[in-house]
Amino acid sequence: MANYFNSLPLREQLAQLGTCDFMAASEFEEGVNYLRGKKLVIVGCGSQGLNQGLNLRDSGLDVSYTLRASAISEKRPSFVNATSNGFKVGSYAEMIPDADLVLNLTPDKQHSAVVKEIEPLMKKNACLAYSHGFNIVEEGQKIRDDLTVIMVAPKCPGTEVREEYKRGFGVPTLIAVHADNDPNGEGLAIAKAYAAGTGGDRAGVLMSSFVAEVKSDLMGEQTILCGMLQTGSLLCFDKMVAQGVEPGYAAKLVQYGWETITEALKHGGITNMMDRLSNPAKLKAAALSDSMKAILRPLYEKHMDDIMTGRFSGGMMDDWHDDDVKLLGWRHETSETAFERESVTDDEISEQTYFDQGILMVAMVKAGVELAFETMTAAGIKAESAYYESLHEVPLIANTIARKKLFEMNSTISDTAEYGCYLYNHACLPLLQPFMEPLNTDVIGRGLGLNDLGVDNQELIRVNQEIRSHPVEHIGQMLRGYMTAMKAIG
Amino acid sequence: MAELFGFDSADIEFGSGFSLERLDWQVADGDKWLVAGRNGSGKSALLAAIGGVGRLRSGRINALREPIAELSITVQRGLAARERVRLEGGEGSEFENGTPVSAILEELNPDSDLLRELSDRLGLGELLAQPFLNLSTGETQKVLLVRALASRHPVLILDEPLRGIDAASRIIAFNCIERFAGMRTVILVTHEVNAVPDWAEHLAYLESGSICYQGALAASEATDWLEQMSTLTVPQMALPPRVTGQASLQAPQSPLVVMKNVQVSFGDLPVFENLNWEIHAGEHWQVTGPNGSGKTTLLNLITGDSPHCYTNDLNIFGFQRGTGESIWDIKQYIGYVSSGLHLAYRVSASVERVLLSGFYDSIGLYQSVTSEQETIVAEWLKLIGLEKKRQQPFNQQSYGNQRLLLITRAMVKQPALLILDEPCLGLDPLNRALVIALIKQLTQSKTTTILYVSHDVSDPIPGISKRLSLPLA
Ligand SMILES: NC(=O)c1ccc[n+]([C@@H]2O[C@H](COP(=O)([O-])OP(=O)(O)OC[C@H]3O[C@@H](n4cnc5c(N)ncnc54)[C@H](OP(=O)(O)O)[C@@H]3O)[C@@H](O)[C@H]2O)c1
Repeated sequence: MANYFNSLPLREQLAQLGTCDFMAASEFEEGVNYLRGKKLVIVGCGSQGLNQGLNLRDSGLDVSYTLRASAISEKRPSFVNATSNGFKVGSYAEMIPDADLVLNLTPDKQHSAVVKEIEPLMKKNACLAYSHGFNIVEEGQKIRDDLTVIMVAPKCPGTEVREEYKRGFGVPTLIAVHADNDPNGEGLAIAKAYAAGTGGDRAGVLMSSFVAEVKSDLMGEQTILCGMLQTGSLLCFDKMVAQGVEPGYAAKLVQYGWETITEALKHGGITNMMDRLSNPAKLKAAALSDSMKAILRPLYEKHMDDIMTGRFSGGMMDDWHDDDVKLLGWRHETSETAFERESVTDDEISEQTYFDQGILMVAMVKAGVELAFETMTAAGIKAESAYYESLHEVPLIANTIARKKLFEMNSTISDTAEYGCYLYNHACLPLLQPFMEPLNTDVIGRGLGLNDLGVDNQELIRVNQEIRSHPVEHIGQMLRGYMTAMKAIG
Repeated sequence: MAELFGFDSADIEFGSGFSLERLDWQVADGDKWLVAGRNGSGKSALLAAIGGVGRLRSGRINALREPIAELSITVQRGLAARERVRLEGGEGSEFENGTPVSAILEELNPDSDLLRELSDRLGLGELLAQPFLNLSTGETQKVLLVRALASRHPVLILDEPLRGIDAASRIIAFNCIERFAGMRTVILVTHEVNAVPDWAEHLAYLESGSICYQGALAASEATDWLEQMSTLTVPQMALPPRVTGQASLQAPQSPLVVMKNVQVSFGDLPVFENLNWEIHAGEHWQVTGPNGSGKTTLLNLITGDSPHCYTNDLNIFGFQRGTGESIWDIKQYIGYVSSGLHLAYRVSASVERVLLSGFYDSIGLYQSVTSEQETIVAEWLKLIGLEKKRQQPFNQQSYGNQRLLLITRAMVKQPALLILDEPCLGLDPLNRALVIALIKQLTQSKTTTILYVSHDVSDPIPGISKRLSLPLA
């Protein structure tokens, strides 16, 4: 199989990369009707599989599961999840032939093998759905001509997909139809009904393409989302400890700091996060962020380039075939870091303190979000996609670090994200070493002292202007506006 | 005796904006205090202040240095939140399906003989291996009670210790508390002024964030304060109107609910075997049964919140379940409140918007509302005396006021079926009377059929005549 993206002519590449449009609520007036009475069979019952299935069934659709034989015979958690929730479960041979819509919700790494097994069993003119386009785009999986191929990708972990649905809401979702596989022209209708069934239509759906989803998803997860938070955690912790901050305190500031400061992003983007700092601290953070952006820009560009050319996925697939030696080695290395091993203090740290003593962390988030966004849009990805895959997801990932540090983050995200995250971390750590060298606890660990509290008016105006006029803020304001029109939480 | 902790002219401010004012209160080693007051008067804030929460604006605090064993909603929520994190975290935890009850109990005192004895007396013996989060409201309360009593901590805080505990266990729980209260300093908070134990010595009565009376519980002044709390009369009232023209408020088909041969079990534990039940419009039901008899499961079959509604023969509002209807088709006819909903209602929204969400059956508000709905909500707020809180954040209201608001949320659309699962837990006597009066009005309205669930058989609700009593599974 050859990389699908690379097989396209340039104009097609650009057209697909540049697809991402917010869909009006009126497009979903038909709800799940298109799928009513059809048979939906989900392959795999993990995080996405179980939770999407529960939502689809509660929306009135006919949902059942198929699992690989060993999962059924060994009564593995996937089997127990499905049966204890009252779903019918059967083997591929029992379930796939009757299915009108097959939802492939197995791990990306398994997609080639799974598709090879189920495709011949699928009935003529049925539809195959994904929640991530890696298999189609990077592995170049070819699907039988009579089958429709679509994607419905919730931009949240599965548990969130379910929780939001139960509240009467949903999570933002990207949908796409694979241009090579839409023989009956019904791909979009199926994708819309599927998205409505998961509740995604209530939170906002974007019409994307397989290519745009994959390239932007990969870029976001390996740079700002997971990579930057991992590198930032290690650097900030080591710095504080070297400067005499009590290690338990340093660990807490980092573990919960990301979550606390990025919560501000949800409400008002980078602008609001920066506004949570005092004026002198804001100027410091802006300056630190500028320096980091200058140092890191080539690294972000390299990641984007490697993703576009397929070099990244090629390297990772080599590791798959090499029994994940690199991935497992890096995972082990991470578990051995001082930050990961330190237990956190019980001392209370107030919400504002995370900002006041975490100026460097705020700067890292700002630099990472802006760089990822700038690099993606410069590569032809639309601002909407770039926003969702950078700024929008940071709080969700930060939330996993708050639970159990980097271990938790790396076990929640996909293997692909984890692999990319380590790759980034290895390149980023040495690049930032010289930058970190002269820094002190005023920007990380203790906060500004009384003698740093003067601010130059002109400088402050310039910095505020710069923050507010960044393109990620423009698109962010618009998209958050759409979402809050529907969602009035907090 | 030596002062254990105390407050001198203390003004203490909390993150929620609530503050305790001019607090003068000294507690000596071995004291037994009853803390009372209406919903929202500051009882929980006072307990939090004992635990060192809050910011001292003026005055002085002599902080408690001993560890506290506490039974309260705060502790329950803390444990539940920790469990959710563990479950989502997966691999990291020792227990894959959630921490079992036995481990929760052992956290404060590993003395397994004592824990076993207390658990057996309260009927928890069978549940020790169950995951903590799977327990019903009443069972959870019993576990927290055993956990607090068995601890060796010298200070015991009991915030409504009998909340949600079934009739059969109440006396036992009451006696267990007495046995363990003796040697320790106890702060007891309760609305049940008829059930104040003999061992309580002092009363601190709160009103709007201040202690307005403190002294011997035996004093006649103390009795006056407590009586005031329970004997205020509920004013005459008329229900606000229903909204007009919302299709979902048309009467659904009757019978509202038909269950045939329902079978539900959790793992190997059967909860229902061959349950048959019908609810007809205008027939109001009270469902009773001890903790753990499956009351909540039964309701979840109706509301669609249990996966078992797809594996049983259920007809709800004319929809045969599992034939293409959505849970929102079902929920549009239901108003619902329970401790589970209360725990799940964790979004930040104003009091007003929480009530408005009752029109859409959502947690949080995601649709635009009509001015008619806003007017109706304003009337309801007036009716329950919380109109001044309209714009305040819901999650900063006291537990009792949150509960009252969620009950009202369930009522605003005057749904075809109003399901109240132990609604009055945490309400002070006056608010409880208010809710009962509202229920009575609704039973006469002809539009709403009521399903009232309580563990307490001896707690008849006026206007409700049908009974379903569930045996222990
Ligand atoms: N997690 C997220 O946040 C997220 C968000 C959006 C989209 N997605 C996408 O959703 C899809 C599923 O991801 P996930 O996170 O839900 O995965 P997951 O939790 O790891 O679940 C995978 C499921 O697939 C089964 N499975 C594993 N290997 C298999 C094989 N070789 N053959 C058949 N079944 C196999 C597993 O069951 P057994 O091992 O018991 O067979 C399990 O039930 C991926 O395409 C992912 O990119 C994920």
